[in-house]
Amino acid sequence: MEQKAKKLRLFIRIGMPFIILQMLCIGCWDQKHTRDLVIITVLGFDRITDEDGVDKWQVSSFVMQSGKAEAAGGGGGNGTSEVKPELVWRGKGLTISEAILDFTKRSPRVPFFADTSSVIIGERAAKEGLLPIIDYLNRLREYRPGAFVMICKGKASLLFEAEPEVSISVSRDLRELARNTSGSSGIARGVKLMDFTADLLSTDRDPVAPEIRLINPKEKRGEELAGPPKAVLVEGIGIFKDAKLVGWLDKEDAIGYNLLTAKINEGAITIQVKKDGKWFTYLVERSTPSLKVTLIDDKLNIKVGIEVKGRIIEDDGADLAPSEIDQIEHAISEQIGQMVMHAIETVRGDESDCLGFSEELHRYSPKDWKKVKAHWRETFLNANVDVQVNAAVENTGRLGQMLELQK
Amino acid sequence: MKIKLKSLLKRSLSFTGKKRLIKVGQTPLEKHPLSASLEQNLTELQKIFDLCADVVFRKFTLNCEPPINAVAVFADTLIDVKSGSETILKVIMQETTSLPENVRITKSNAIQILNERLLTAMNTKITRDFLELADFVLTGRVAIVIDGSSSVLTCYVGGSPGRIIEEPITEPVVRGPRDGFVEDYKINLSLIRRRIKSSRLKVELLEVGAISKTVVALCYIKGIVEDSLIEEVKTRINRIRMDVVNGSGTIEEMITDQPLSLFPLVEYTERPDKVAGSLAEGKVAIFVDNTPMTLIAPTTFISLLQASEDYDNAFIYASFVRLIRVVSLHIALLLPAITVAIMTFHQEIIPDKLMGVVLTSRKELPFPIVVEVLFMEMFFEILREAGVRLPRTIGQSVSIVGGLVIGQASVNAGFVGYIAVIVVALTAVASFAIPNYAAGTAIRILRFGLIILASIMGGVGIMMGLMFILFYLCGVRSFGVPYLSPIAPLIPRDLKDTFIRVPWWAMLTRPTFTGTKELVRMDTNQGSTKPNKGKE
Repeated sequence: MEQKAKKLRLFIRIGMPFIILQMLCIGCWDQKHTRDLVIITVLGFDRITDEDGVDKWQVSSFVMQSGKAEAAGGGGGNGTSEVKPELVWRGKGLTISEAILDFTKRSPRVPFFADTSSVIIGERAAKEGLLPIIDYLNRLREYRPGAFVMICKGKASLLFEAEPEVSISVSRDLRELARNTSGSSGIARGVKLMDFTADLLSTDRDPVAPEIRLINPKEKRGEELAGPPKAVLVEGIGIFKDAKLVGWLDKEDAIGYNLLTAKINEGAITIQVKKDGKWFTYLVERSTPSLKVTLIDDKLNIKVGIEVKGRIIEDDGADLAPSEIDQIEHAISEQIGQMVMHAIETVRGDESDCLGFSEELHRYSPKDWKKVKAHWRETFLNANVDVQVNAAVENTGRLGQMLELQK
Repeated sequence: MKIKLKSLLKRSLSFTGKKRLIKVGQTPLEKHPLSASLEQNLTELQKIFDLCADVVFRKFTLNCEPPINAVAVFADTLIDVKSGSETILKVIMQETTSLPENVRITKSNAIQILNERLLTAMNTKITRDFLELADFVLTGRVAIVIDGSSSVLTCYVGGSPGRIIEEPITEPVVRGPRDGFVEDYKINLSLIRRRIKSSRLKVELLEVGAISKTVVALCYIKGIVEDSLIEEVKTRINRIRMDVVNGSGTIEEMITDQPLSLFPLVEYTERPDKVAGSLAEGKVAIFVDNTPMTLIAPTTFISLLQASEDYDNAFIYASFVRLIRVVSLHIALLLPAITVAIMTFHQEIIPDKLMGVVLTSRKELPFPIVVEVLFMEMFFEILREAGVRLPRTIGQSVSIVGGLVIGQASVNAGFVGYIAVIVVALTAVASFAIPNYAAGTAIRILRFGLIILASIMGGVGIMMGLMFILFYLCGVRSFGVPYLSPIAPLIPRDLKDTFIRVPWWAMLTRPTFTGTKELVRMDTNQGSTKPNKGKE
């Protein structure tokens, strides 16, 4: 009892000052009020050559504008579509920080990056200085690992002319597109900053990032445009090699890439198949890729198997007999196989291994990986790739008899 | 230095002074026997009850040969006068003729005959002492002083009517008994005795207060309750030396373990079913005369989250409600503080969709969020206090004026933001979900401290505040029972009646700290069985 009390006294004498001193790490001097923040929602990075001929960074940003977000979104749809809920600020400088300071100096407030949900990297920046950008983002005090990284053709700054089309702000449009496209249409894949960084730094894999484009919706209502004149679209994937943008996967290839690398559980990806002169539309409901990479005599053997299950949702008036389902399944498998193969060939043409083949070897046969480690890119380029697609039609989607005019 | 400061503080708060209570105007404590002469006794009694308008001296004559003078002394405000006249005066003055032939009333045996043969009152007592006599008269007895006798017959003829038993206002239930305690401790005891019809239910009467002579009834079930607990409670109650004890709050503060505790260490209730349940758990109930609020000791933190209705409701629903209460306890304690901390220190965790709303609502506000929240909390406390004190009919208009007009108007005018109003409203509702009112007040006070800590140090401040609250709660004991038991120290067996309430057939044991003497409550395997089972 006596010793216990002694120990307690010792703890109080030595421990408590430490605890109390720790509390001085934070205090009222650390206070920042929400109204003192410049909340940056999207960052766009560009490399430009300035008028004086010096290569500089140009950083564009969407800044959340208080007071307007509510008017457009929370006001209950009172038709204030002219209101831009986000400011566009742009600055340039020799370093990224200088470029950001170049525009944040316009406000007496502190830049705040915790809500930066998307990062857009321009083509030139992606080719010349990807690492500094990623390094800068990872070093931010308000580092957001879940931010989406996107690539655009041309200058990123052009994208900041876009206006919100679906959501109340472009930043939200962007984030939702990046997050959901891989499931909804398969034409792109959202990549989070942490995954992008991990792939970028890994020794056996290259990163990818979705491509973002500016589109000009033409739909008109009366004389005026029905929507904004410029909007954003996430479509396609940019592929990297050693922190350099080297190529692009277009729409079809992006679907192939998605089927190849990801498990798909929600059905929204459609694949068009032509058989006997008629177009069928096949909706992928579930898809499970399996990957087997082996090293035989210094040659990489890659076996890709994809189990696809789905249904026919459109058949151009053809009445599928049960006996024909086998044939159509075969045709679908072939079609998907071609898409996947084409995606693989495109990636190999750019000498990038963003499909994770080498990573698979590294993971499951580390001994073999050691043999090829020094020249893994060449090994990948010369690999035998075998794609086996097994597509199943679970449902022809027919409503009893075909709809037929009986006049 | 330290001691000087302490004594200075004590003196300024007038804690010091003469140790013993001076009893002003009290009759001397030593025995003061009655004399045989009615005249002398009357003079003495009139001296004692000088200027006591409610004490009546009723002179009459015993119907015998020779007639004997007598006086009935009583406080007419305390007795049932009608029943008194029927049970005492009528029989004495008229029915002495019905006595057998061989019984003759004389001065020496008048008391005995009255007591044994004539009076129809159920409760009679004989005394030979003035002081005792005075006490009897003042507790509502009729004293019959007879000439030539040095002893006095006192009888109880029923008290003046008090408040009728009605549903307790502060602890209403949906399902459960509707009777509540009243001011008269005898009725309260009857409500308990009706629930526990066993001679093991013991009632000990103590008297507290030199002038008020308040009756304090100690109630427990012998064999279940720890003997040391009864001794401790008795010692603490007997230690109280004061002149007037007004209610159970006074007793509570005088017997509580920690004199400065924010949390209630002795629970109070108006519900007899709650008291009966506590008695069955091995706790002690302390009835104080003239208050419906009955004390229960010892108390644990968890019991503040238990409502008597939990034991009547289906156990699944009761458990659900318990969990809701735990959640609302945390909301009531922490929500404003967390809001302040997030809005001033940790904006990173605001989701960006919410950020737009926050940014908009906070843009043009004149005060920082902590001022807003403190202001609104204070306003709510004022509103609540005003609503409690006012008559119920006006109370509604207060809530309309306060809640709707001022709340809405202050937001529209731009004094405070929506967030502060929402947070304060949520907190207020959550704090009302705590069944124990005293615990609710403790939470309310701590909330203010946490808000200030959060505004100074953010999340670290909240954690610090919670740490110290927890330190404190871990150290407190209520009559020897750790306040946080059965969670700290952890007694898994007792968790059956904490965050959840297990079905009654699984309530096999009493709480360990109060019920070890007779731990087992019921037979095992009493759960619901199918009709064909249990036949053998």
